[in-house]
Amino acid sequence: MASSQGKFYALLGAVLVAGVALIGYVAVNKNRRAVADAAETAAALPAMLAEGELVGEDVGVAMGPEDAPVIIHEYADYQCPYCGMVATLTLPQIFEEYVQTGKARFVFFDYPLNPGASEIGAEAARCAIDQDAFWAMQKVLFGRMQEWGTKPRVRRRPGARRRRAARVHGLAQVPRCSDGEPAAGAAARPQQHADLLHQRTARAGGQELRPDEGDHRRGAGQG
Amino acid sequence: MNRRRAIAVLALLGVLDSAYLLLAKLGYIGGLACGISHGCDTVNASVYSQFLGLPVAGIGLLGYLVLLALAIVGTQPHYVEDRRIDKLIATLSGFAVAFTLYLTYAELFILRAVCQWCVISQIAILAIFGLAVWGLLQAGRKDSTSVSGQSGLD
Repeated sequence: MASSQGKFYALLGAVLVAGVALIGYVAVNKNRRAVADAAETAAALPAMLAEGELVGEDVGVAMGPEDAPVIIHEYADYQCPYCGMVATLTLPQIFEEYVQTGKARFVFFDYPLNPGASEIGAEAARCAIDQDAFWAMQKVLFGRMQEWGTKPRVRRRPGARRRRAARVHGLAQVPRCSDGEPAAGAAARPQQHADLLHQRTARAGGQELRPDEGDHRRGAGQG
Repeated sequence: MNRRRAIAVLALLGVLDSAYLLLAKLGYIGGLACGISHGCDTVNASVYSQFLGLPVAGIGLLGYLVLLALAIVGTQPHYVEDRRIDKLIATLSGFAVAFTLYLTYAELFILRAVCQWCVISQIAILAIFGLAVWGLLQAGRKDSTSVSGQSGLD
């Protein structure tokens, strides 16, 4: 009995040691790869930008002077809690201290991680541009993502969700894109463009990238 | 006895798995190593990775630690015959299975992404629940056998 219990503890110990070792190995290996990927992306970035392979600013939503010494690119999803935390806790300070003072330009790109709520949130925010309400709409969408994003009834009715998001913000009408482009297309375009950059840099964890040798510095990170 | 030991080993696997998911969620070890499923970061960054403001992986870690402690206590000679251990494990893992089913639904039908680390946890908790229920059923059968044996003697 005692010996059998001893074997049981030994087994638990072995599983614990093997598990910790495996987690350590996987984490270290993953980070090593991330650093290598970041270096590779940084090296390839000038050519990618020149060839138009990367997303251009025109498909993002920008705030701040075009000639700002620092340009911040954010790729985010309206259903991602960490994107929401960045939007509600960090970005207001960045906007106030850097963007509004002309020290930085901020460009937002949609990166809906999932079909359904993520895409619809992106569409709603993008179409609010017509009412000059993109940033206000974004603030509401990020701040109340749980409230509007997980309602099964709304999830089944995309139109209803957009109307609800519009009502939450107090917009007079459901946001529509003035150029006649369907809202889904408006949100999908930057997502598709950003996909390549996302794949190559998502694991870099927001590590600074230097696309050229000039004064401009562009940081790419997923919010 | 061996059943509780098996539950302890499964709960320890759950502890390790949820600890890895939590460390990734809190940003200490970068993204998750995902291999073939490609959905780990989608799942771990989604709105379903938090419950009442707490990371789901953290709730899982706490739950597995409690199950591990219960199972280890249940292997001690003093508690081997104690049915309350099985009942507690079955109840706790029952809640966990219900929560897991909700999360699995979200993964498959809302997020349409599968995370292999979540699948490991799903299998572990289902197995723990199955073993606990099996233990309770066996105990019930033993009781009815001993009762009928006693009535036969009477």
